[in-house]
Amino acid sequence: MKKFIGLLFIPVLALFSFFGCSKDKSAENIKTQYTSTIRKYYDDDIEKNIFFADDTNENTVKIYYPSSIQARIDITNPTNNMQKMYRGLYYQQVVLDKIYKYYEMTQEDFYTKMSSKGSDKSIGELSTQLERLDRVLDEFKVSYNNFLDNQEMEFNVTSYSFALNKVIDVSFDFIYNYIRLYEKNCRSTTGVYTSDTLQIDLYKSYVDVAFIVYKENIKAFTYSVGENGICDLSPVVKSSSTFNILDKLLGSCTLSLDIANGLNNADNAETLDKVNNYYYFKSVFEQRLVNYKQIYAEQDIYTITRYRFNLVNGVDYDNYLNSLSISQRSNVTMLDDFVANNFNDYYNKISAIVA
Amino acid sequence: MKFWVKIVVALCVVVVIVFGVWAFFFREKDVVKAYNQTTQLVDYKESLGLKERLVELSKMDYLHNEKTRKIVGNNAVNNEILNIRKDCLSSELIVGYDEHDVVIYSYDSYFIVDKTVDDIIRFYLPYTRGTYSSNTHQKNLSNTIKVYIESLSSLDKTIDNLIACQKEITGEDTAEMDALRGHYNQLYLKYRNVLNKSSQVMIALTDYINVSLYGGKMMADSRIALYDCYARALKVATSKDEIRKEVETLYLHDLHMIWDKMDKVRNGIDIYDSTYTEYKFLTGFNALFCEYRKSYDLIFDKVNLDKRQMADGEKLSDIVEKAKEPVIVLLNVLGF
Repeated sequence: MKKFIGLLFIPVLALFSFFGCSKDKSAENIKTQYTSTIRKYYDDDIEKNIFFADDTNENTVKIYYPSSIQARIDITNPTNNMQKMYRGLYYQQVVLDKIYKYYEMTQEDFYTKMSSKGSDKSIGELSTQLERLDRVLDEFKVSYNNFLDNQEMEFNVTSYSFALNKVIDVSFDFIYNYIRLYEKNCRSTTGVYTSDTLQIDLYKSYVDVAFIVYKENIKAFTYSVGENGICDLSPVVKSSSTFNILDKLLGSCTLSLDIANGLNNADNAETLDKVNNYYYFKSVFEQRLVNYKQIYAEQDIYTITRYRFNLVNGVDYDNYLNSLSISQRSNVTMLDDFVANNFNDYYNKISAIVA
Repeated sequence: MKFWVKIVVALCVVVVIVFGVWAFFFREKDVVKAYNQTTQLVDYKESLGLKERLVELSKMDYLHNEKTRKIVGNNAVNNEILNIRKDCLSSELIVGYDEHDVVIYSYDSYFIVDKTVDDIIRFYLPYTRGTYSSNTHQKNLSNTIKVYIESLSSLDKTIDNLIACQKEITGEDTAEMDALRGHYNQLYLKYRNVLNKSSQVMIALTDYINVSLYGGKMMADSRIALYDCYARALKVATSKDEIRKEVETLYLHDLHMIWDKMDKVRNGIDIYDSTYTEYKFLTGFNALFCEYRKSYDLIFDKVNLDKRQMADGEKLSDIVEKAKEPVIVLLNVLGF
């Protein structure tokens, strides 16, 4: 009987070993996986990334059609709906740019330090997220190809934009996990500010800025559900609504020379004051963000956004808020308050230290 | 024991165990308890319609439903009634002057303070869903909410009685006016009590949020810091055992100073300068709030003159050494 029970344990042990080991990924594996995944952003035929940024002119969106036709759309001052839609695409691309900028700037340090630690289970999750990103990029490429096949530019941009949102969602999951690992394993704990660490934290801040702008101004607009959904970004692009924070995406990512030099001079109280303020409000923002995410997930953000941007005839935002119960109203007000105060305070403190 | 009795007993035991297990798994979790109770409080207060009736009462400056029978200050009783009406119901800032027409104090009526309290409690409401364990703070919050609700209920009845009395009497009899004065005195005491209990709710809320949401390491922003100062100043202004009007007035004056800073922050006006920066104020506030609570409470207990001297770095002997600098910064930012 004992032998029989002992025999039963062998396959169980084997299963444990198999699943346990398979999750151990080395940093080198992740690096390779990332490179092959990110390669999907590129179109081999044109040797360009599949987004529509124009390398030569940032004010235009450039589309390469398979028939070697190139289309350029000026998005500087969008006046018609099509230009506004493409301006929306441009903002989505900026969001992705902010996300991957952090990765690009830290990857070398990350892989060097993580490799020296050997295989680590904690980075297994990164691998899973990259697998998800890989799948979403495959889906996205279908939208991309459909977009190019069907040359009705205005008609097709909505589904393309919606597919791009899925890529952005998965990219945020990936980058926030990556940031958590990077800060846990690769950051010095001396607490002394240097221009290098400050610059990396700034990249993190721009991921945060992109996250809030995406949640508030992009995601809800490009969410499409039948006739009731908000189909494209044209209502928010160039709108004068106080809820429009798209311009926050276009900020610089570079630490100003004054602040960088000031850090080396211990007597420079003004620099330290600005840097301390930045770090303090970064902490406040990160604390409140947890609550924002929780409430955001519980609210019907698509309905809220429609009222915020006056897309519902006859009912303005204040009337909409008054129609809610007090507790619901408090929750929605908290979302607005988070952006108007915590996010804005954070952004203002960033602005004080960048060039 | 008969067989069927044993069966019944066994079944009862099973039912009790199943019920116990069910109650354990489906009990109201601590995480939502504070949120639910605060929501109930907000909804309850709204359902009472206090604000509407107080506005109605503020417009009712006459007797017996006759607008021509105005209450005029021609005797001590009427003056007392009018003063209480001003202190409780006025929608404008109440200002006091000395003999040279120099402003010596200014404060908000209870009605305005109450509106500010509502704003603050509604601001805190979405933050009451923390996940850290905080049983003590949760119980404290529950108790303060319960007591606050009782005080609101009592005020509600007082307003009903007062309005009924004022509508009924003609004012032609001294006894009638004495009775009305009694009702107004009740309004004053009950409203004062409501504000005192509300301050305890606000303090309990910040303590609960600090522990349950931020694990005891809350980083305050300017609004939270000022709201907490406001709650503590209100508690002191309304909790002196022996109510002496002139003392309360001065504490309410200090309360209005904090309100003024809150209003500026809400409207994006900078309240800091190069000496007393936002960073110094907030880090100082965090230190007082988390580590030097006794010193922090002590500030608001002091009268206005003492606060001003403390802001100048004097009379700090009661303050812990490490808390002295934060106290000075805090008082200066608050305007003392």
